[in-house]
Amino acid sequence: MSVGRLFSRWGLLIVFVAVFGAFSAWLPSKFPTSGNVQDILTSQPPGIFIAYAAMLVLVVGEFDLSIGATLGMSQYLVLKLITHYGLSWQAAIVAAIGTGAAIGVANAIAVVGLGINSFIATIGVATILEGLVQWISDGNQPLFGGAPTGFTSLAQTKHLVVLPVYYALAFAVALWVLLEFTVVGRQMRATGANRAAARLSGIHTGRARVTAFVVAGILSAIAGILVTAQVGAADATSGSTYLLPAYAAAFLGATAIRPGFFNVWGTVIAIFLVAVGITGLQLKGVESWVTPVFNGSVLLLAVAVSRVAATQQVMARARSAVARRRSSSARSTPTHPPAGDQT
Amino acid sequence: MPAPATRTAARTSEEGVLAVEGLECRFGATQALRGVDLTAYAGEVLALLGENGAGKSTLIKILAGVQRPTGGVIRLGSDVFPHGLTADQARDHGLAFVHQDLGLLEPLSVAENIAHVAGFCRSRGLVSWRRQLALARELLARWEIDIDPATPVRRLEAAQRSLVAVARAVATEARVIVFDEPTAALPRHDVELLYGAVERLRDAGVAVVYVTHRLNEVTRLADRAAVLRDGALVGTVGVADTSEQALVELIVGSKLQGAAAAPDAARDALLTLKEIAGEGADGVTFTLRRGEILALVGLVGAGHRAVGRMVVGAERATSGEMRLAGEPFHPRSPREAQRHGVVYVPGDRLGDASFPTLDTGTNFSLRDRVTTAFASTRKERAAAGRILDAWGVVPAAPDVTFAALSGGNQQKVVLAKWMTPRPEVLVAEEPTAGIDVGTKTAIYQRLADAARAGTAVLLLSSDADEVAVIANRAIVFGHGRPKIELGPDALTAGRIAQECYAG
Repeated sequence: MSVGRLFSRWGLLIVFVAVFGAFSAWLPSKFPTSGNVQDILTSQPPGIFIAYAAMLVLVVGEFDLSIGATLGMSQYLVLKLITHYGLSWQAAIVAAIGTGAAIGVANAIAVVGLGINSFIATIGVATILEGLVQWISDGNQPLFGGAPTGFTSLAQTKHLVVLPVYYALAFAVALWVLLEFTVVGRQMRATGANRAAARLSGIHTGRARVTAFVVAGILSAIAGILVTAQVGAADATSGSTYLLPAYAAAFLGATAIRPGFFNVWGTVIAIFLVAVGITGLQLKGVESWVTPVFNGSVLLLAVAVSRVAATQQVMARARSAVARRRSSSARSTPTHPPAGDQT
Repeated sequence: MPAPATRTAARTSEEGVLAVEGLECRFGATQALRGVDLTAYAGEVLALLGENGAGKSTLIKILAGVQRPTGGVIRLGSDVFPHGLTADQARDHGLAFVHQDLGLLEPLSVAENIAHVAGFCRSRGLVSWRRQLALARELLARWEIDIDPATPVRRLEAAQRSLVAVARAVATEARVIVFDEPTAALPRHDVELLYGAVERLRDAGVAVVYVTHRLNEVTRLADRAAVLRDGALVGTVGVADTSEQALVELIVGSKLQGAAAAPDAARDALLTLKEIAGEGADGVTFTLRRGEILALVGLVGAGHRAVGRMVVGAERATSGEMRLAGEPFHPRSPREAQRHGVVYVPGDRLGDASFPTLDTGTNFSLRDRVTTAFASTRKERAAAGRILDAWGVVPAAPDVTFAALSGGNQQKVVLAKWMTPRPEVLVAEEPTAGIDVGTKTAIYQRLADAARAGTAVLLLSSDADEVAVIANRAIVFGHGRPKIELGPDALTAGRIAQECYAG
């Protein structure tokens, strides 16, 4: 593999190490401490799960902008069901995940069934959800406490980090296997690559997209449950703050590991890159408005970088095509022409 | 769901492996197919011909299970489908397709493209990429296709892609393979590779249905030719017993035909290029006169297209001098070129030349002189309708979605748009690619008329026949440079092709 290919695959990880190293050198007493690393790890799982949801829908070539609202609904619903309706925490979790799946089905009906543009359809669903949350929370009243220990112990610390970090890792492996090694996953990838061609290949593109929306709803619901389990309280309005970082991570992740494709491990690296950046800046004492500015900039940068990479690929292909044509006119049929022609 | 197929006893090779009987398809008021009967036999190539809109695409869509027929029966071997097929049934009963645009999943690997059609290799429920690659490698080797199956399709050249599409179709052990204009997107010198693949399939006992606009392909490859016109089968002929002329008559029916002559006299010089160079082209010098059609000819990537795009401001020339009517002319955008009466009809009809989802009236009037926001929309649309009607666009109604028109009608709309009012310089790129014989003749006539009226036409083409018919002069390009200029005496399709393929 060429140096360029290596760099495009592992570049994001290198940047991550560099950013980590830079903050460590800048803030040697605060940043590279086990406490800080633990803090970073502990705060990420909900964001990771919601980024998985964003990524999965992007894989099939759609957008789901209701994932943040689904998280908000789920984190509030799970605690409300336990504290106000007397459900066991297990039943409440099942209900919240079921709600997430139902939201996914609603998105799928709008996008796949009715053919509404996914961008606008999922904004509609998100807005409806925000209204419903406001309704069940009596005008966005937060819920404090009342979470049974069985429920909060889902987020207890084991082997230095909280359990949700392990859940996130397990789901990463599961999603990786789904997308790389199952027929359903490959059909999802094919659908996102070119829906018309996928359909002509005999792939059920509708089914692939429905699957993505439903699984994304479930993943967003899990993210919400984890927020409540980790915090022990539910703030009905916090969902939307998760949306943009999730997309930033998914797009940034698409520049690494399997460049040009939305992928799980790239997304995970991207999450931690952003987290390390923000934590470092906060430890340095910047004000809170910096966080959204940082997130938005990372999103734009990620998309820009992946566009430049795509353009360069096209250019390289055009150059090698010219090279091929030249050498084939010299009566040979090379299969690996020299790249980088002198045109 | 269609009724389950009824499976009966043995088949013989004499029987058709694929037959359609009385196939009908109706979209609202239009009848796309009217009782078509067709049979394809094993070990035979059946060419399917017809003008755009004759019903070929509908027939293929029905066979692929993308469109449901409104009447008629499909037989595959001994299985009868009275209500059409689903995509899965088509595949399971040995029907495979090489689609017009190949239908490949470009970002994905060759092996995966094959797997999506032929099925994945799995062990314990998970895809085994090792076995998948091995299988693809074996398949490609069997077809003598020298491609690493791990390569993403988008890195392949056009010819290699078409071979992958063929390999993918064969991987299903298909008994019938339908090729839908497989060479439309291929540079000419790569076409033989594909012909070879078709012949191998035929020799292996596959029934090949080959849809094409190119009559030389029919005589080269096909055993029989079936011709559709206006949704009905007008004839099935043995290729050995017929001539290209007879086929053309079947295809266009009673319509006026015969090639339009190139316009006669070139007048004063209008556009001059001196040592123009830029991305993809170098050392280009020529003079374009009013009243002539000058063709820049070449294979894909030869540089002639790049020159045309510099003339119209779509690309920048990095050095050299261009003059229009004696004045320095270096357009920085198509908009600037249009201000000087220099217009461009791109070759990619749906990609560059139109807004496929908008209606034809809007397509017609969207250009730099857009005035529809405040001027009389209704008047402008009525005018558009009249012009489309004069061009013989069917339907000429301005409220029809552009993408719903047949290819030939789309091309007429695009040309009508840029040729109204008559431009000073018309740069037309592949103006008749993939369209039927009848429309071709009409378009040639229009181009010649415009030239006679004083337009300077710069034709960018890779179709030697077209250039021979319509152009006054031709400059053959290769490797980004002009190679030779052919005057009227040398303008034969054979000579042009020969110069294109030479070194």
